[in-house]
Amino acid sequence: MALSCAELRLRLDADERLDALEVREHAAGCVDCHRALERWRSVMGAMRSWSEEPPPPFLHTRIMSELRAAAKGERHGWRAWFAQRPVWASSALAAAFVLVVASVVMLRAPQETHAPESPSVERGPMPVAPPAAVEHRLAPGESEHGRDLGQPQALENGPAQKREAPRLRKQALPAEPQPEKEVFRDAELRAEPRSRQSEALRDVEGAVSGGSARAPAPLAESGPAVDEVRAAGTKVAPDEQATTRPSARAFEVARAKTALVRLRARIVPLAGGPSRSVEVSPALLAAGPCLIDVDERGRPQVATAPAKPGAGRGVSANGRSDAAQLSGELSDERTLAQDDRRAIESLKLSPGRYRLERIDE
Amino acid sequence: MGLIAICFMLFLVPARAETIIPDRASADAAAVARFRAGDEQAFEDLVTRSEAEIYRLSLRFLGNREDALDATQDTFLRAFRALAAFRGEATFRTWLIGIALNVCRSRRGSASARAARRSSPLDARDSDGDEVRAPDLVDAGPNPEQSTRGSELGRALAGALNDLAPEQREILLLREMQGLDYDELAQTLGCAEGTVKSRLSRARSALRVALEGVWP
Repeated sequence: MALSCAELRLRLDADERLDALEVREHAAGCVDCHRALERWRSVMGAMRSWSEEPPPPFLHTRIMSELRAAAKGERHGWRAWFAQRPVWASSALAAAFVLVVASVVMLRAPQETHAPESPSVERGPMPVAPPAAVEHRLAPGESEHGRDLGQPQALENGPAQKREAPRLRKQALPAEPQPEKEVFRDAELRAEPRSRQSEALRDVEGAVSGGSARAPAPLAESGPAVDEVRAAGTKVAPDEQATTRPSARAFEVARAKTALVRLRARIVPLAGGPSRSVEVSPALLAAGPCLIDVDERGRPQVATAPAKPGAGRGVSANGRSDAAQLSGELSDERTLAQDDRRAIESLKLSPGRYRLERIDE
Repeated sequence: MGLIAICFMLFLVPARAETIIPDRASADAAAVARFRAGDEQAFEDLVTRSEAEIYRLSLRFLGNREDALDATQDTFLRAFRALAAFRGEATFRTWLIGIALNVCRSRRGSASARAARRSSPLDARDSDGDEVRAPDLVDAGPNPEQSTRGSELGRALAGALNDLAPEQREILLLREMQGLDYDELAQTLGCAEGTVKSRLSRARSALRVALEGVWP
């Protein structure tokens, strides 16, 4: 059967026998195909000739020296040990190792749940105060310096407490007594920026670990930390704040920062009328009652200017003179946090001036 | 008597030939078995039989003698470390060629990346002073036995191969230079035999087209 030119070109590509009779017959009668066939044979021959090029004479020496160096390094290594054993034996050994590690981890886990009884935790400063210790007072003659965060004893026990920190934090959080009239709001916790939450948690960590890196500031009667503690709504008087355990104080700071605590407050229209209750952040009322102006759209803001004439009767709901106490309330420049603003807006108050005060005051 | 002599010749001569000149695959298999039994000298036998082939393949893939030497060395080092896990499903030769292929791909890729970072053109194979050249399939070295015409063809062929897609270049070199059959190609490249045939056909066609421009 005679081949066509196209069929012959296809044979060149298809790796079929080029010395077949029909190929030779077609090439004998077709100059172009004969040339293409010879050309292709030359190309394939050139490629095959590459397989006969001599390698460099030092190739064997170079390879073997590298292999010997590698073998020397691996002869005593774990790879060689595994390589000399059957696959099933190596697998069984690896599985046994994993089982041992897993067993050790499982056995250690229950011990850690009873860790508060271990001396390593009890020896140092109390990492996180138990519920009753939040309002702990010093016994007569008890040194309050011994409870400072910078004590060497605290530093000595730092690593052990750092290990205990996550677990203790978990235990402490639900056990912490809620300050009077405070409410946890999960939704608000979720809405709280993570940076603030993590910062507060780091404060707890710092207190628990001995406070070497992020120790809260030394206890004082005033200052931002104390204000925050006070703002958290706890019954900690200034003279008691120094007696509060550092971990409890840090915990309160953390809670105040993360806005977990809400205070129940009363909002009383100065123009007269029934008061309403509302939950606000402790920071808003940390310096005492304040005045709130509600505009025509029902948007509240802290009053910073004297009331317009006729805005109120001049006497607050608790009977005190507005002129006497509102001057002080107007002098501070507090602002409403977004949560507080929303809480007051939800009351749908009529425009006017209101007095916001803690219910227990 | 003559019949007995003929039978003797028929039975013994081929067996004797087989024991004296064992074929490559069975010699490799025996060396692998010896190595796995703890005889490290056996690996040197494997190196001796395979080093030239692996070097040539690396040279054609990488186009550079120094890179080819490094790749050959790296190939045997990897084989040495992995030989304990070699299951013998393929021959040692195809297994080793597969390792060499991976080593060369890796080196070629990193060389291309270096060349790209230096913004040097990929086909600047003869530029002076360029230490890290793009990998080219240059005609590797003078061959005194080649005629002038043959040298021209070698260079043209190397250039044309360099213009092909990597998988086409690989399959052509493995088939035509290394002489792997379809089954070995399928094992080495990890694809079906039908894929090997179609890829080979496309590679040949592409090579013919590429050569038309550089080798009249």
